[in-house]
Amino acid sequence: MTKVRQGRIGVAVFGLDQRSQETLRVAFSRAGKGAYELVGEAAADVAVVNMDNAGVAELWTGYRARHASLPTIVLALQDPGLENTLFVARPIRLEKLFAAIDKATVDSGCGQTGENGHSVSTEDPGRSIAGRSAERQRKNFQANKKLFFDPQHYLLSRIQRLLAEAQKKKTAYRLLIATEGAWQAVTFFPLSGQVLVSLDPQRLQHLCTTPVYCIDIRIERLDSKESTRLEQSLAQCHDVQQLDAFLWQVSLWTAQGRVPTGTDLSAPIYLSCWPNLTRLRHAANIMRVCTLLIEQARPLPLVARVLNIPRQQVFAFYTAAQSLGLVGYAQREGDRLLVAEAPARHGQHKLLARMLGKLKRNA
Amino acid sequence: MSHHKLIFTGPVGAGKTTAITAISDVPVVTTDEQASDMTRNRKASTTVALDYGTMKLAGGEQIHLYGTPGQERFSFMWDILTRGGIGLILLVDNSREDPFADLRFFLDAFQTFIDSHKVAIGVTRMDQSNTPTLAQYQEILRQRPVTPPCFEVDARRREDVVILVQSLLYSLDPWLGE
Repeated sequence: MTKVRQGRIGVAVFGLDQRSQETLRVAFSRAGKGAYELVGEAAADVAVVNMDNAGVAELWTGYRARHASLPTIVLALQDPGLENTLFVARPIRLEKLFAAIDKATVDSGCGQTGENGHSVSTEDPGRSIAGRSAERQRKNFQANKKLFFDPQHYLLSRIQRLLAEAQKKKTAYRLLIATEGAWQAVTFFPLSGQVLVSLDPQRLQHLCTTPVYCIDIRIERLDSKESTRLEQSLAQCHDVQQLDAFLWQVSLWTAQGRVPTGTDLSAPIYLSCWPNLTRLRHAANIMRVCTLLIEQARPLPLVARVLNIPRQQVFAFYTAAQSLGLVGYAQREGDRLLVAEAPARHGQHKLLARMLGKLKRNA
Repeated sequence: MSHHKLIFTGPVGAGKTTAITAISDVPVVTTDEQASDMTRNRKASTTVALDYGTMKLAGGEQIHLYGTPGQERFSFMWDILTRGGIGLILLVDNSREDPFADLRFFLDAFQTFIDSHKVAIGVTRMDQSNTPTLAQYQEILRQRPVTPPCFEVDARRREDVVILVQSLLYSLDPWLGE
């Protein structure tokens, strides 16, 4: 039975630092309209436990020993699958947290919920545990293939490694790629930030999506004499590109709407600055994605959802921006705890839309 | 009919007149005068009052494009010009002696307007001077609460000016369609 006092539900939190607790307190009073109140564990109707915490095993054991039957909501990046708890994914969407608290207080039985707060359906009891597990693994593998790619399997990683080496040694390097019986060169000039590409774009695009172990590659370090000679002649070459533009393009081709393996899709991502879009290849909705990520760190799937665009567009942008070192995980606890509000429409939305239409028509 | 304005600002010679010409639907009205004092070695003539162009939109509406005079002694006009403005385009000439000082000066001068609207920054003449780099500009801009768009811009290239203005519009309203 809950001890709802003066219409307010007492919520005790475990495993959250003082600042995060303060953030929740403000959220309860403002967005929660005073329906919830942060209280000590003795007065709690519901507990919220942060499972993404150092020493979580001890925290959980101690908590359960003290409060075996207290309705409990667990916060985590991924569902830890704890019995008799409700799961709310981090970063928290307040409406999900409030819904979970309401449910916990009404239903002290606490059925488990999925990532989006929906109840998890019970599985077919006739199927074996091993069979279910194998099927789950196969489905996960298929789903991951659509979301992630391993840069180590593609030309992109070789290019990035070569570039890092060229920048460290401050000298030009040449990547030779065997294609159609001949060696084609991509020469990197780290000091001037340029790259000389003898491959035609279609061929390079194809190579970017070919497993790297299927490509014959050689690497040459240019001596300073040849490097200087070539660099001086770059002004007359048609095949010269800015290094950033080249890396951006190769990343987009490689990504094909995916992110590098290991990318945490639940973590909020920040954009440190706008890419130099006058000199980089444009991708769909890129300026909208930039606006959202520069304003506040957000998880990538959330950006796609808020803008109502295919997540592949956001993922491809992330991969390219990561290659240029423009994105990173938000470190502030506040960014990780709460989902950022979506920005409001401009008061002159229609006028701005007409301006944009005009600029695009005449572009 | 409402008086919608897009403001272009920046130091003398940054390309404001050229940028407005790139997107204006009418010949740009420029009040030029033979340059004197420190302006002379950068341009034969310079804008002492303002540039004016227009973008004609479907439905008959117009966006008035104003270029502020680049010289600081006309800064009293800037406040008047920005009233009713949609947003600000700041062009910084990379070949000037201290472009960072220019950047800071104009961001400070238009601070109030930028706080309530938005700014997009174009760094011009990078073909004449490739330092400071765009990354160095970004480093300064990162200290602001929201980092504004900042691109390499050749004011003579219409596509550069269009991308810069588009970034301003999306910064103002990410709900604008693609």
